[in-house]
Amino acid sequence: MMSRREASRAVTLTVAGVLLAGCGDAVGAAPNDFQQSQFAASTSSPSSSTAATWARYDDPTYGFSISYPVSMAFRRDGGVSGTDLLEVYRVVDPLYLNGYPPGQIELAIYKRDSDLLTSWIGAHSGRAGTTKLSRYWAPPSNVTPITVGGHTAVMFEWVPDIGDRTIHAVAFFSGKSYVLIVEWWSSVQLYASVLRPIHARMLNELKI
Amino acid sequence: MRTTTRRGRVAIVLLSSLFASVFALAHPVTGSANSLPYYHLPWVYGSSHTVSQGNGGSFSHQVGTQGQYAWDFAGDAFTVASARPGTVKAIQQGYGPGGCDASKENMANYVVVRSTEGDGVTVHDALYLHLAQNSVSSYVSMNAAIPASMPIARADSSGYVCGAHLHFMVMNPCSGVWWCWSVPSSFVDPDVLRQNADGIPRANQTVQSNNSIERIDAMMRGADGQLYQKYWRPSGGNNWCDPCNPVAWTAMPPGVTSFVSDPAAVWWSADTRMEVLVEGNDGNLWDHYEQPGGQGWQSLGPYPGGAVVSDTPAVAAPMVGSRIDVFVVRGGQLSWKHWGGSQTACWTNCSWESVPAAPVSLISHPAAIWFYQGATPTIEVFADGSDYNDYVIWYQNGSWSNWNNLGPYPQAYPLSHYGAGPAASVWPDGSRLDEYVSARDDGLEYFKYWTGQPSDCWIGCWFDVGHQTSQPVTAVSDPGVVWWPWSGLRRIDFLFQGSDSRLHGRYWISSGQADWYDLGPWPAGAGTSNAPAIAAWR
Repeated sequence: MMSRREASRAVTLTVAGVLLAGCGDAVGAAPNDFQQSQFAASTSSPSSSTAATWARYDDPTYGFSISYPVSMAFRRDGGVSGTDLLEVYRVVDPLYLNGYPPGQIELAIYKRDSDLLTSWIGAHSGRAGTTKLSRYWAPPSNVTPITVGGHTAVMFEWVPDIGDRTIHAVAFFSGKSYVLIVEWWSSVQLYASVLRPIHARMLNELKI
Repeated sequence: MRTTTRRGRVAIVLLSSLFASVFALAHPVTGSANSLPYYHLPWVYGSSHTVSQGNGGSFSHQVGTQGQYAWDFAGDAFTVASARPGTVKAIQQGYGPGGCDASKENMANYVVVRSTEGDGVTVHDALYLHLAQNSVSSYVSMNAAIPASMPIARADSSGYVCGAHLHFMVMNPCSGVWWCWSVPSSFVDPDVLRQNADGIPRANQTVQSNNSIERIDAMMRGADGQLYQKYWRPSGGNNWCDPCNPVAWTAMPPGVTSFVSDPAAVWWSADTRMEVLVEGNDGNLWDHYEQPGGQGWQSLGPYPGGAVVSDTPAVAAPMVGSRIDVFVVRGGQLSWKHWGGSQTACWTNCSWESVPAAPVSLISHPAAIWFYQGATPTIEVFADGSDYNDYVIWYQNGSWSNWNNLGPYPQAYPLSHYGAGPAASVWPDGSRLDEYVSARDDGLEYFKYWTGQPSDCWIGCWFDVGHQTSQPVTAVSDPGVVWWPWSGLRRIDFLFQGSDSRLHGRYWISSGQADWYDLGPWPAGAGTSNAPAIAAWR
């Protein structure tokens, strides 16, 4: 187990590594239809120089395709039985594969049971004391309909019941059966500046 | 008359060695090295787990976060045991395994148990988190009282976990939620204290649980009318063994030179003390309390009717909750007084309360048990009727039931009738009730039990344990019985005075183990036919 100081140093090192591998050209964004400023820094299309540093994952089961930096691990973690959370993929620095990461990007696929994304988000919200298994989060904040990568989506933020991090989520319908949420979180401010642009680029290159 | 057989002596050796090997570690009776709320390690006795993240851990217990005073104990699929007695305040067990994804953070299974501190006012909630799906024990239901040391669930990886572990922390009661700010707490297990004088295990330490019974006491009235005591505790130094003699117990209450009834004993968790009730030769019912740091007598006043008749009382108290109930049979009917509860309490020097009249005159002392049937507080009282049938009455939601006839007392051949006093025990969730009697005609032990199953031996049925398991010596007294947790299992012990003037007993463990044992000579002579009382400190 790392000490806190060691963990901090590891975060610093991996921040530098990810920046070099995945986001070195993530400046000078080209205009697109995703207007949220927090993602605006990395909205360019992948250049030939970056194609080699990003890979793509195609998921025929849930009907989406998404790119991610090859410097990061793309892991399938499974869903949660007893719920409609069907699958979760995590995009994480390999340094943290065997422990708690300071942050990561997650793709969560849920069963769709609503016609509107905002309705779906609301239907699965509830106070922390409830025991309803279809409750995924406390009432979220900043629920905002957006368009990203040409897809209709809803951006929102939620805080887990234990309250120690904010999760920045963007939800899409994937066909008539699924909801795909691409979200990121970081418990370290410095690391947030790494994950946020990667998340933004993944959204922009998402195919549903 | 049978005497102790070779089988009986083997049982003595086995029992002694079992106690010696299983409870070899030093263990404080109560309290901790500091003023923090104290708990036992939250898994069953004897096993060890490593602290994968301690207080202030860098992963998710950082200083300044709500989980600052939490521990993660590494391991998968181990049995989580209650770290203190308390009341269940929150349960979630519907989620399957989670993973290292914040998406799953709200999909964690947990149990929250609320305990009261020694001041009787302060309460703390213990959170057991990341439990396995549908693994919560059946007796762990909302608002149910649970004892310490009982299995409550299985550890797993539900929720946001990067490696299976049990997350344990103590909180001030949260408002409407299951998680809030943790508060400092500590453990009293000797292995923790050996490594950390403050009782706070550190990251990477492997710590062994001593989460078990605090102490068991057997109280007996000798031929000289005094009370004697044998006790067993994990820290050793006890006189439970044979030939250890019972010790004369405490000073007599004022104005009393001998006791004229057998004692009744109960562990009263609400006040963290053992209560022993017995009739003095002054005609009063006396209550003795004993707890770490103090003991004393108080008079509960004269028996109903006032005469000195030698009627053994019965006493019962809930696992949690500030209430204690005492019963006596006098003049063929049951009388009652209690302390605490929502009714007007009647305890010292006040009139006895009435209980619905039994359909026949009662001819034995009563036996009483206190438990939660689901979330409903329940008292049951048993006694032998003049028609030699076994009668029971219960108290729920502020009122008494009618008396129910459970059928005739055990009848051996040649048929004879008698007024034998029953003993009863109950698992705190009410999932199993046991009633024991010593048959006066054949000197054997009988019991009946109820678990809610059609196959139960309950109405019109007795299990002839003495005959079927070669009882080593006949009984000349009524039995005493206690239920207690044993290394994650459930255990019942019953004791009686043998015809060899020794204290005998038998244990049964939910794993199926059972045997007779001999705990040595009865105090102050033979032929008293006095019944022991037994209580387990929690």
